[in-house]
Amino acid sequence: MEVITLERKVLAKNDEIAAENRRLFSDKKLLVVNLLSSPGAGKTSLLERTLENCRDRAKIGVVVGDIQTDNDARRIDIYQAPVVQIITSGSCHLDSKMVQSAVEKLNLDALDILIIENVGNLVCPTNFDLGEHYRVVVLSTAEGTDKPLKYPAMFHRADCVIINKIDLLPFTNFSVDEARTSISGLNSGAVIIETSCRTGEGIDIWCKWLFGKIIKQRVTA
Amino acid sequence: MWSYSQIETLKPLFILVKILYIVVLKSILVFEMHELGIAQQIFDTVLDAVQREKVIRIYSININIGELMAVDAESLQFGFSILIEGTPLAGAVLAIRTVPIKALCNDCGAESVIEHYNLLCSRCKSRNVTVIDGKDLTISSIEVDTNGSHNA
Repeated sequence: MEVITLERKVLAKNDEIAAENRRLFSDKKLLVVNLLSSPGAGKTSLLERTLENCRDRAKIGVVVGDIQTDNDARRIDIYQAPVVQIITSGSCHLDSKMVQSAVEKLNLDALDILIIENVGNLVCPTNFDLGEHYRVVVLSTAEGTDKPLKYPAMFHRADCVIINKIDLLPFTNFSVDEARTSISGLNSGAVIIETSCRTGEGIDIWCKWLFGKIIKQRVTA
Repeated sequence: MWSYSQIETLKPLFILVKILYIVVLKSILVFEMHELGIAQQIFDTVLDAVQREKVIRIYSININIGELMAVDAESLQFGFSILIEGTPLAGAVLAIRTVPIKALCNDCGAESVIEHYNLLCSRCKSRNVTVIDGKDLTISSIEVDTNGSHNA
């Protein structure tokens, strides 16, 4: 018997394509955000609010991933933003290859920001780099304060965490302080923003964060 | 009636049907959970190495799972055992080593082993730390018989 040393990352192939994607996005001076959350936390609502708030100031393109239906793409279509729907037909996450094919359908030169709405899931998308510049994780107050500790890997890799449905706080036992402490414990660098996509609270802070990143991208790219 | 030679000529067709059946079955299974997707990636990488190195028998696949990857070892084992049936990797054991999360403090320079995902320097209690280990999923090696080693 002999031992063959491989020392190969299991997701090496995905990482390689992700690096290609990132290079393309940076060349085009395009800011790319991977938007993640569990189902129903408010990813699509956040996208709608973002498009509403930012459309006069920036050209935003959207890639939406869903296991089935193009409902999300149709919701976005109303805002006349270029949108590509990826239907994964069962797969619980997007991978870099799917994103590579999807962005071929967009005119990247005409965009300032590309937001990739991942499949609603806090587990599977964690390890799949898509080539994004920033990861944004949405957590809603209806989900429970312990979410970050239950899905540590997801929150560890987030650049920004949105605590959404803040208007529902009086009806839940969610503790914003406790959630902030556990997120910072996993990831001291994450920016935490409280929003309500229903009332619009905090959306301007979120858009400010986004615009700060566009400027940073243009300066460094 | 079919003659024996006619049945013989149909043999490749039977094999093709069997392969198709396995492929369809597996593609359904692969999408059912997170760990099956990862099992598939391991499978592809190892199969590639097995074919390249002219392996005639595979005993074990040694993999390291960083705790930060949040991969369930039991589910991965289960997924992998289904994937390898009827393939050149059949019979291979997946030997999983869990790698604890280690962090380097950017303030005092100490290295800490992180427990319960609480990223904190154990010496100065700073949260300004960088994860240096336990964040990857790697295939370290495979234990095999190759054409060469078998004859020797």
